[in-house]
Amino acid sequence: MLRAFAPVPVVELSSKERIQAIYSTNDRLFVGLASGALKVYEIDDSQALSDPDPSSAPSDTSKRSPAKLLTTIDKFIKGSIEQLLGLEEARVLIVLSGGYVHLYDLDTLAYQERLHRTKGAVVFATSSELEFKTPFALPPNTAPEKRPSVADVQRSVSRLVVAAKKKLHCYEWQGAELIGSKEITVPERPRSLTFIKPDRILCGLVVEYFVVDIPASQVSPIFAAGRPVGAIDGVLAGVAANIGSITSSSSASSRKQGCALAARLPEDESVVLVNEFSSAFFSSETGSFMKSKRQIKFKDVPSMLGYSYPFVLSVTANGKKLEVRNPKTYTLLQSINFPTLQHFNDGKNPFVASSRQIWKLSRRSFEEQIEELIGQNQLDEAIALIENVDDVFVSDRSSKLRELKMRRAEILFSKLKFSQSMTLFSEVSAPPERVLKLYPEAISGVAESSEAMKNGTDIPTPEETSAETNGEKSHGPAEVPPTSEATEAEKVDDEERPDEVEASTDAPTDASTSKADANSVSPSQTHDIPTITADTVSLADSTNAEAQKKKDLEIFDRFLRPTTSNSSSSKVDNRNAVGQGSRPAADTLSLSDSLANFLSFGKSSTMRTARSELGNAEYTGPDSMDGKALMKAVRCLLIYLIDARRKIARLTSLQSGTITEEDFDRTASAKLNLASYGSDLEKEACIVDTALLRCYIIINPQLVGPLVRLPNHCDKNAVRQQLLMYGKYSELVDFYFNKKLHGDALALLKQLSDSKKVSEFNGPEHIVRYLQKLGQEHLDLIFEYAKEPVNINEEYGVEIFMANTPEAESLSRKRVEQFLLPISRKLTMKYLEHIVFGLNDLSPDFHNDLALTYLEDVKTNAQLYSSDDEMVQRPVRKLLRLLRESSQYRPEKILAAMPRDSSLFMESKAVLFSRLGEHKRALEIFVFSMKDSQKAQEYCMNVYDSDVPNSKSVFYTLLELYLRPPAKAATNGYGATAPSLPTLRDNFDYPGMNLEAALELLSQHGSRLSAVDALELLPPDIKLTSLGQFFESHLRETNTTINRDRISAALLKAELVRTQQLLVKLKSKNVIISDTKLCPVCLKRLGSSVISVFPNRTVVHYGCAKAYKESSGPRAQTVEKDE
Amino acid sequence: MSSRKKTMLKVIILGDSGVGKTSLMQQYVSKKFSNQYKATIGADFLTKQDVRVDDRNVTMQLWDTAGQERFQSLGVAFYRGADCCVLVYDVNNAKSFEALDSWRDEFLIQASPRDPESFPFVVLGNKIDVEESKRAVSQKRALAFCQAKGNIPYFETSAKEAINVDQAFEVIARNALAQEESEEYSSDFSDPINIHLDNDRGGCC
Ligand SMILES: Nc1nc2c(ncn2[C@@H]2O[C@H](COP(=O)(O)OP(=O)(O)OP(=O)(O)O)[C@@H](O)[C@H]2O)c(=O)[nH]1
Ligand SMILES: [Mg+2]
Repeated sequence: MLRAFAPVPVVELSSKERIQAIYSTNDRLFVGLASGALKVYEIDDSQALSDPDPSSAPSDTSKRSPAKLLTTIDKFIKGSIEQLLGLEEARVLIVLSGGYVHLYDLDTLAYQERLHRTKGAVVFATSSELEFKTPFALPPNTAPEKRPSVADVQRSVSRLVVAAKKKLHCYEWQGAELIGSKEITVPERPRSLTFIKPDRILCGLVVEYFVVDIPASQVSPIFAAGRPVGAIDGVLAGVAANIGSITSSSSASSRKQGCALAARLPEDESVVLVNEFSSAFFSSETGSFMKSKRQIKFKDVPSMLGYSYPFVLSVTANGKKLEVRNPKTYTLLQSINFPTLQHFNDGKNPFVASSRQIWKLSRRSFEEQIEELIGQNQLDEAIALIENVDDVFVSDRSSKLRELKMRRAEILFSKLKFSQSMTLFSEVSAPPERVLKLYPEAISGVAESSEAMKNGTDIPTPEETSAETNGEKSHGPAEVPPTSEATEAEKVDDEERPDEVEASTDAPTDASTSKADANSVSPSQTHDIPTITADTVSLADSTNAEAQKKKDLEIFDRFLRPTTSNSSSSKVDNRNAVGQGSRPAADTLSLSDSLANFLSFGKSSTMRTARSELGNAEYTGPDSMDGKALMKAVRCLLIYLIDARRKIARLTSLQSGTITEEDFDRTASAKLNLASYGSDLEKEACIVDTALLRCYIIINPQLVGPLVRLPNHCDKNAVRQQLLMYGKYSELVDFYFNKKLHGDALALLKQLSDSKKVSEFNGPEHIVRYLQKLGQEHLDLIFEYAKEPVNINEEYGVEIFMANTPEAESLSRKRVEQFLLPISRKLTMKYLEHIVFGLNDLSPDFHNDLALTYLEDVKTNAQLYSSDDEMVQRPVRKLLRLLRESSQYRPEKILAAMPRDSSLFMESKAVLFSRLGEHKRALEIFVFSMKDSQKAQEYCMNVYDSDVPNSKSVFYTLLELYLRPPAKAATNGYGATAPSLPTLRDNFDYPGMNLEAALELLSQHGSRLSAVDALELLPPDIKLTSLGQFFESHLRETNTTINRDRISAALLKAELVRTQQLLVKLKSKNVIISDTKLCPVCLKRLGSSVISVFPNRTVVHYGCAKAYKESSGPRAQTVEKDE
Repeated sequence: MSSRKKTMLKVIILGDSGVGKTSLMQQYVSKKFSNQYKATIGADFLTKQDVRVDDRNVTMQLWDTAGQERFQSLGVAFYRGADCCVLVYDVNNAKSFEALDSWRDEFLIQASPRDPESFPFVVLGNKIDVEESKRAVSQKRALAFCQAKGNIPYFETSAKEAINVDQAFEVIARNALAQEESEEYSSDFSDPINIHLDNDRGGCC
């Protein structure tokens, strides 16, 4: 039980005196006696002491009494003092005596007046309302101490309401001045009065209540007799907002017998109502019952009811007990025994009194109270209390609250209320480590060893050491003490042995390493790497499929081994063996049972930790959890992990500046700040994501893919280990890709494709597809892994290097070419064609190389096939096409590579010579090597350009070749380097002269030749008739030229005349504006302003144009504007 | 199942910023369209009452989300308990199409549905009213994506011209209902967050 209040005896009167009423202010205690005497005490707060036992009579009160008697006025009033209250703002002390209400000065205690109309008064109540200079809204649970000080008070309104018979007499003070009074007739005699708002009073009858709106004199019943509370909605007329003012209403409901009681809870604007049937909460804000609230359960109807922040206080009917309750949780927190209590003054300084004794209820600090509740494992109460009180009372309130909620969540977890537990953890953004600690290593990934580290015990415990030396025989975490349980586990293990023997003989080192890992003192993760690597390497090495399978099972087995060896013996059965026999690809269903066993093993230790931390919290052991419960626990963990993942991501963006503080606040509804997850967000994110992965693997393997493909912070080694264990290879590849660990990904893919044990990964397709996703920065990796697929099938090379993707296009072309060249000429050719024709690469190197590759192709194929075979002809055509179409290659280079005498390259050579401007040599090929005068002519037509010196003479060159063939040509032994023979001008009998072709040429293209030069070449004995066509075309051509020139001369002359006319016309139109020229309208200089020119050449300002037009009449109609 | 219980279908709409998520919802729920762009902040839902799916009358709770990273909600985990997820991209913006995969993955993680394989998604290619020359993602490409992801229904829509919007949401409602019904059999995992939402009406975060 909580000790929220400690009763401190402050006054004890002699047996003759009888207390009838008490009233306390901040430092004074007024005590009214049955004799009509008044005693005033000064209360010394500094001496607050806590004597928990009020029944032990305060023997030495006089010495150390916190109350000092200031004065006793024996004949204060004639009758007995029935009720005593003060109005601090009005400085009035109000006394009910002899059926009347009397007023006294609060300071001097001088009698002021008797309120005559209050005859028959039975009870009264007061309220005061303060209006502040700066209106502000008070948060609902502002502590009284934090409220604005008196200095800020602008105006105070104090009210007194006296119930006398069926009337309410209301008095109102402003400041110290009584400003008015009114009477309100009510249907019944009120027995208790409680202000629920400054101007609204709740009247309690025997069981019913009604509310009186004082300014409106309106009475509304809210409670019908005999009906349960909450069944009737009290309808109160519109309740005015209460901003800028606060109220403090008078004390506890009076103790009139059989009376409906009420107490106002100012913190949340509600009223708790208690009558002999039930209790209820009523909202003074909305004027209706609060349906969301339950009833407070009282053992018997209280005789008095009051409120003291933040508790509801009540006195039992017999007056022997004061009960303290939290109105939020309805829980009875404390009950204090007294000799019969008769009086009760609630509020900030609560006092209780019997007929002779008065106790101050000294409040213990909230921090102490909270500690106490925690100590008593009343976490819910502690949370409720801490949520209920203000920051000022509890240092570090929010972090304490968070801590409490986390502990609460832990307890919920231990009670298998996983969903609630995880929701609570999420609510407070609990640190991931703390939540995961509740789960076994399979989820948290935290080996016991790292927990030992956290506790600062770096030295291995004896168990740990033995575990290490035991090697493969050691089982599970070191924390398992060598008890009978352990031996039992070992026995079980022995039974299981037959199943394991094979595996362990196969790879004893692996098994022992991993065991040692689990127990070693250093962080385990680093140890995982070599283990797994060793595993996969051996996986790659082995060729025997059977052995592969066994290895797989080992990995799997290692995961399950703790189950086999450690879970409480009854749970171990053959299902593990079944699990081992199943495929490594995680089959959750068949897994779930063995998994549950495994998980429950882990639990026993973590739960133990939880238990020790939570003290003697109620705890149902993990053994009672079946597999289903554990699966549920894991499923519920997702609630927390997903929440944490999102929050951490958000905080990370905030930290990195991706989002602004403003954005953050705008989208964050939770009270979340940077500190929630500690400073190392990256680390927390890693813990969360890795745990998420582990959860998915167990309960929803299909989500592993999405997780590893998204940006995530999963721990690389954990992912590798887990995914390998479950054969989730493509997910692992995706993970590597996401993390840019391409080397790892490719190594894995290669192992898989080599091992041929997972049919899906056979062959190089996966590697190729992966390589396609890589760009230039990973070129070396691409080359490393592309070689093999390309060797298998060149098409893979096409897919990798020639795909129509930004990645493929980003690759360094030179290097790709160099890579491909030694592998395959055909592929290189394809690649070069791709970049030259497909990507329009203009670098001469590639064009050269492509040409040379074609050349090579022709050469090699020519040795295998006849020269008119497609295999030869195709590359020949390709080469020709490239040489013709491209202008980027270097002809010399290619020419040099061409075999001298192969007939296959003649045309190509011609193109090359042409490119070099060596038309003669090109033509020589057509004329002599190919003997194709048609092609020769076409060539000339293509090249001929009368404006280019070298090309102008091309027809002449051809003619010359026809008529003066070099000597060698005649024998068809023409070579590229053959020197041209000297022209033998006198000897016209040239061997191989082709007169026919020459005449043909002359007749068709004669005009492109100088007639004189041509004639000179012709043999002298030629018949003129055969030249007829030549001359004719020459003449026609010349005439055409003459005519054309004449026409253009005439046209140009006409143009000249036209232009001159235009000039004259334009000149006649000008006006000259000099510095001195004035506007005839305003007589100011025209300067550079906008002007108007009239047809009569008058120039005025643009602004003056209208005036000018009017003055000069219709003469000036058109206005031209100009600058 | 208890048939006359009122059925509330929860639908989450995801996609890059500016693809027209809010516009599609507005068009569907209130037949309105605005050319103005106002980024969605956090997440918000609209309710469409009395949607007929075959012979059933259902209410759709459509959750519009922020496409912009900086406005994405931190608040309640509203993805939880979703019955259908709508992935939207802009047919004139290839990046928005390429992002669909991530949106889908993100949804799966956040919602963690029991059976991710069968969880209903619907893909909408929006803004098809824009001139053809601006189009960046062909129908063929979109269909190939949907096929690869397990035959996701695909619609080409325009929130502006109200093309295909009702048709798309009809399929969304139908698939959501099927999902909801299949979940009713298998839910042994009470969902406190979802319950919380119901009290938290109008709940933007
Ligand atoms: N032409 C055309 N414009 C559209 C269409 N749908 C939306 N828009 C315009 O695209 C812009 C963005 O639309 P929103 O609906 O606000 O985009 P959103 O996806 O909600 O964006 P976020 O809230 O930032 O995630 C607005 O200017 C819309 O008017 C459509 O079908 N056709
Ligand atoms: Mg939007």
